[in-house]
Amino acid sequence: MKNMFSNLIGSLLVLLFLYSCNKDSTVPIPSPGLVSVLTDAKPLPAGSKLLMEGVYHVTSGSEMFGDYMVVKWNRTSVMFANNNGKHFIMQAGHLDSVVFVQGYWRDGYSDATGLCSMIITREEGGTTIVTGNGAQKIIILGAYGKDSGLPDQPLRLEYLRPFSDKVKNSKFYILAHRSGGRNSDRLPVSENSIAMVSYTEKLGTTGVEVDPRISRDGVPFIYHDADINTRLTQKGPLAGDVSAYTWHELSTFVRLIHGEKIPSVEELLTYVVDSTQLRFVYLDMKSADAVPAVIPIQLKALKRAKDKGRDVMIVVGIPSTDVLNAVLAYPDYQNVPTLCELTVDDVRKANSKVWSPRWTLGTQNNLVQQMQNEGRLAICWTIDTPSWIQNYIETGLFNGLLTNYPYVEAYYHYIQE
Amino acid sequence: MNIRLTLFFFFSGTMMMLAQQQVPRDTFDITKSAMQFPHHYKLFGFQVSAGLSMVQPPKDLLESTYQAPLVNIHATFGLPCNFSLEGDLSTLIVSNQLALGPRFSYLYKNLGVKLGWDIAFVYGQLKQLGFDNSTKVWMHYPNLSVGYKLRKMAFTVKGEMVIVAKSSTKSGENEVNVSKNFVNGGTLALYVEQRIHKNMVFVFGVKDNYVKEYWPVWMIFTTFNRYYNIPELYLSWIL
Repeated sequence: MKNMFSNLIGSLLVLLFLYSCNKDSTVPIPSPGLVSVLTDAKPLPAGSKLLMEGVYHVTSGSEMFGDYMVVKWNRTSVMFANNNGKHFIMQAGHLDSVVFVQGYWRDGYSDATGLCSMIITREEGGTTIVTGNGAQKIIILGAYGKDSGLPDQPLRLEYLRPFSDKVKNSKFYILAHRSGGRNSDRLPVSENSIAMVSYTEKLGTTGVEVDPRISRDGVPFIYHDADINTRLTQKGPLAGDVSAYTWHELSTFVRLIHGEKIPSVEELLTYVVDSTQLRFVYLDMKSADAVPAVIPIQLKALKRAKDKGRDVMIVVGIPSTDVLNAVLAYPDYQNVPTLCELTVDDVRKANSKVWSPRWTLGTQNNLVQQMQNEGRLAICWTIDTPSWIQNYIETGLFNGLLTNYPYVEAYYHYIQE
Repeated sequence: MNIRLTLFFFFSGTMMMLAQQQVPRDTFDITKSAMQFPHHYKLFGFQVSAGLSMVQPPKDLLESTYQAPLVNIHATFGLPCNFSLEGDLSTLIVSNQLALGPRFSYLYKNLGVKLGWDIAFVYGQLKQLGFDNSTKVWMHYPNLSVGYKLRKMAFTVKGEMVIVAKSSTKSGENEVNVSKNFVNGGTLALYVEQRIHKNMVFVFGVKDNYVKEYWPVWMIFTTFNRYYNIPELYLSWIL
């Protein structure tokens, strides 16, 4: 009898252990297999991409993806976004006058994903897109699947209209958290990595927030938590306070959860300036001690951007009074571009270029206008609920929103009339 | 010499008398003290246990290294006709759950079965670590327990469904999530109730929560829409 019970307990403990291992920390990107029509297709010229962009009516597949989708090209791919967090990351090319679009979709709020394949025939917009001539009547026909299954559910999008002039003339910033996305949203690359900076543009992001700290030997690097832990890093020889290690130790022995190195602030800013189309970097200082070391790197990156003709804003974030004091102690701080999360008086004291209140304080349109009248920007953090993103874009006056779900923000921004 | 003889007979006699006395028989029966094991609870009898639940949240829900065990108080009250009432208070200071519900127990030899339905209210508020969230949730926990007892030890497997009647989460004054009437998942637990000393009973439990939204961290992560397995280790004393 005793054996029976010990076996029972043992089995239940093993089961509990197995069930408790939430192994899937990433939603795998579904692969279309070896054969892809895009292998032989030619890339679309820039003008063709612009013709594809706009608001589409979903005439088949709306039960899954809603009634409308926004189609927007970025540096490497074309994103289709809807209002409930489902978005498509697609590649496109053409063979003669037929446009092929292939990739995958993902629900940002869950683990749902699948393949997607689309086509724009010659008669239904292909010729228009490829040649840049003719009326802009585009019908995208295709199918989507679930997980790695072949696309077998019909999808049909009808071009409704181009982006409005309001959207085209706007410099609204779609800012993504932690260099573009959190680990907890199960993206294929690690938060606060250069790989994430590259990946997040596919999600519609136009700027990123990152978390600088400083190493024991004075090198500013990007990392969110105060300690080395398995939420952010692979198991390795280092543990404890991340700032207790030298930069050499951190870059040699620590790998982020998907295998990337921890980036230094300089590496990340250089990558943003040289290799992306991002327009905004928010250095959300995690340590006041890092301020004097980060500012020269920020100013150097801004000069680099200017020399390259890149319109990118890089600001040192002031989330607390100790960081504010560190900024105020910096020589010529009034000419250092900063973003202040504190009161508007603190914004003026530091001569911050950006005021960034917590979103839960409301749209605060009067204060936002005051800031804008003083030549500053106003960007609020960190807003994730679709209905509130919509509300803030439609009724607020902010110059941008920080979010963990940039594709939702992109949808509500680009669909504005 | 006489004194020596007197002492010898005195000690010998005492030892013999002590040897003849019977050691009191250990009549302990776990059913009189157990709380998780299904049995016929003493009519209008009141039992309380106090303990801790150690939780291992998934990494998605670990935004900081701050972790604390749940403090738990569990109580039963015996009612007529094999019914009882059970109450449970769990608190993490920032998040708290109070559950109350009736039970019907049936005991056949060493086997016990208990059916119950709890109604629970959760209130949580977190204004630290960059959060400004609060939550209120009403939940149902229909549950079934099956147990087997030895004389000093009892084993109980308990399963329950987690049904959300209504949940509301706010960020600042803004309502960010309102949900109604959905099955949030279920839990499966094994409890071992073991006599430790005299009538003192210790409860050791392992529990797996398979849920979309886990009440101690409910107010933090309002956007995730996926199931998690969240193990709990439960330790308590029946007072």
